[in-house]
Amino acid sequence: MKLSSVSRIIVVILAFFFGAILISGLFYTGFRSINDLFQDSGFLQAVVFSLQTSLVATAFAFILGVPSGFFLARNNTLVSRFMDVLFDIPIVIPPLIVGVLLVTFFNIPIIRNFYSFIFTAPGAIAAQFFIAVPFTIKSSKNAFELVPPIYERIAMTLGAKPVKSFFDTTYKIAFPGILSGLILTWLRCIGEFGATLMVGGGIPGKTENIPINVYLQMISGDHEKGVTAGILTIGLALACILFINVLFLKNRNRISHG
Amino acid sequence: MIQIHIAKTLKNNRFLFSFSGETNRIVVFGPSGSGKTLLLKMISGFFDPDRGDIIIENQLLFSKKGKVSLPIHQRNIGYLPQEYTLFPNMSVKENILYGMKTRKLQIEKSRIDRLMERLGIAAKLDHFPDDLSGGQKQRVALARALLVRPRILLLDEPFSALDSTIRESLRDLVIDIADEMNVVTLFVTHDLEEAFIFGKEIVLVNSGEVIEYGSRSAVFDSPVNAETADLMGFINIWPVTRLQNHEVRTKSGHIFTYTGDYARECNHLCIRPENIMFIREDIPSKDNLKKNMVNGSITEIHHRGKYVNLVMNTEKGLQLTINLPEHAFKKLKLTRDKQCKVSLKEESIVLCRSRFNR
Repeated sequence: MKLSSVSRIIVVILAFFFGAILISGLFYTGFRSINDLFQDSGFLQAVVFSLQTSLVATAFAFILGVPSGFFLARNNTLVSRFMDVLFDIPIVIPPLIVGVLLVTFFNIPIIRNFYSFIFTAPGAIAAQFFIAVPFTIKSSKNAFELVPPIYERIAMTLGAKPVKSFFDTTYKIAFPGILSGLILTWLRCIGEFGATLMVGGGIPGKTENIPINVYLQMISGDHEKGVTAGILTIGLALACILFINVLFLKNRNRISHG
Repeated sequence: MIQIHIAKTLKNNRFLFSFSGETNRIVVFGPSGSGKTLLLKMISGFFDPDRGDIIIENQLLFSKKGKVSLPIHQRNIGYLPQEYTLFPNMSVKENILYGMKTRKLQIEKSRIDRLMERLGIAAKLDHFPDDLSGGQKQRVALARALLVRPRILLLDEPFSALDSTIRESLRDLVIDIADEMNVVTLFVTHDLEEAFIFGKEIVLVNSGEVIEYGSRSAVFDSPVNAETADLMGFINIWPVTRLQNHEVRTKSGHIFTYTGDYARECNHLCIRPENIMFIREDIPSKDNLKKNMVNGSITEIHHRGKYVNLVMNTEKGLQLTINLPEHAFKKLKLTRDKQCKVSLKEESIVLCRSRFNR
C-alpha cells in the first residue's frame, strides 16, 4: 500500500474522532439550552470575567511577547536559545503546576507586600498571561524569522529612520503571523482553567471564568448547561482558527516571494 | 568622486579597502568571498569599519578619527543587492514612491513616468512584487533607488540571478541611465566580461584587499601585479629573469622579447591565451610572429563554445594555455599530442611584479 494511501486513511480516522467528539456535545444542547444559559447571571458574569481577563492578558502578551519574539528571531546566541526553551515551559507543563508555581511566587513576601495577587482578577490575568504568552512569542518569532532584515536596511537607505523602517517593513510583513499568535493567545486565555483556578480561586461572581463555570456546572450535575457553554466556546475557537487560516492563505505567497 | 580608505576585521579575517575613483562607473571586481559585498555594506552604513574614512562626492560619510558615522538614512545611498528586496506588503507604485515620500521630496509626475517608461515597468504600477518576474523586480528596485537621486548607486551583483539575455539588457540599461543621470555607480561583479563592459574604472579585490585599481585600460591591458594579471585572465604567468635589450628568460630557459618599458622589479611575464598564435609551416609568418617562437605538443583540448582552449607543453617543459577560435582550430586540424609551433606576440607581453615582493 502506498504511503499516501496509508496517511489518507489515518487522517480520515482521526478527523472522524475529532468530529464525533465535537458533535457529541450537540445531542445535549439546543436553542432552548443556549437561551437558558444566557439567562443565568452566574454564566454571564463568567463570560464578562473571561473577556476582561483574557483581553488584558492578551494585551500584555502583545506588549511583552512580540518584542521578545523579535529578539529571538534576530539573535541566535546561547542565551537566546536558552530563553527560547524557557518560554516553552508553560506549554509543556500542566497549567495546574504553573498555577502552583505562581501561587508560590506571589506568596514571596516582597511580592505579597507589593500586591496581593492571590484570589484576585489581576492574579487570574497573570495566570492566563504566563500560560498563553508563549504562543505570542513563538508566532512572532516565526513571523519575524520569515522577514529578512534587508527590507529594513533598504528602507533606511531610502531615508526612513530605523523605527519607521521597522514598522513600514518588518512589522507589517510579519503582522499576519503576529495576529494569528495573538488570536491563539487570546483563545488559550479564554480556555485557561488550571492556573486560573489555582491563582484566582474560581470565586463565583468574582474570579470565575467560562471553563471554571463549566466545571462547576458539571460537578453540580447540570450537564446540559455545562455542555452548552462548552459548545459555545468551541464555536468561538473554530471561528477564530478559520479566520487565521484565511489570513495566512492570503498572505503566505506575498511574504515568501517578495 | 569617491575616496575610500577603510579597514575591518571580521571573525579573524582582515579586510583592507583603499582606493579612489574619478568617473561615474566604477566596477569592484574580484572572486566570490573576497569581501566585495562587505565593502558595499560599509559604504551603506550597515557596518562601521574599524578605522579609516569614506568620502563620496565630497561628503564625509565615515571617519574613525573624526568620529563621524552618518546613519544609513542620512547617507543618501541607492543600494541594489543580488536578492529581491521589493517590500512585499506594498504595490510597485508604493515601493517606487517610498523613498520620495519618506524624504518628503516633491513627486514630479513627468520624471517618474519617464523613468517608468525607460525601465519598462509603467504597466506594472498597481501590481504587487509577487506578480513580477525577477527582471521586473530588479527594474522596480532600480527605479526606487534612482528616484531619490542618490549620492551613489551601489549595485551588488543585482542581475546575477537572472538569465543571460535579461542580465545583459539590464546591464546596458544601467550603463545608459548612470551616464544620463550622471550618478556615481559602484558595480560589484565577479564576471570579467561584465566588469569590462560596465567599468570606466576597475577596483580589484582579492582576499579582502584592494590589490589594484585604475582605469579600465590600465587594469585590463597593463596590470601592475601578477595577481591582478591572473584575475584579468592572462593565465600564462611565469617568473622570468630580466636580460638586456627587452629580453627575458623563463626558468625553463626560453628567451622572449617584449616591446613595453617596465620597472626593474617587474619579474613576471604575463600573456593572454588569445595572444599566443599558431604558426603555419605552409604560409609565411607575419613579421611580429617571427620572434618568440616555441615548439611543443598539445596535451589538452577543451571546447568552450565560441573558442577552443588548448594546453601545450614545450620541449623545455614550459606549459602554455592558448585560446583559439573554433573555426581556426578546425582549419589547423589540431589534435592531442600533435607537434606545433607557436609564437608569443611580443607587443602583447606584459611584465608584472610579484605583489608580495614589492
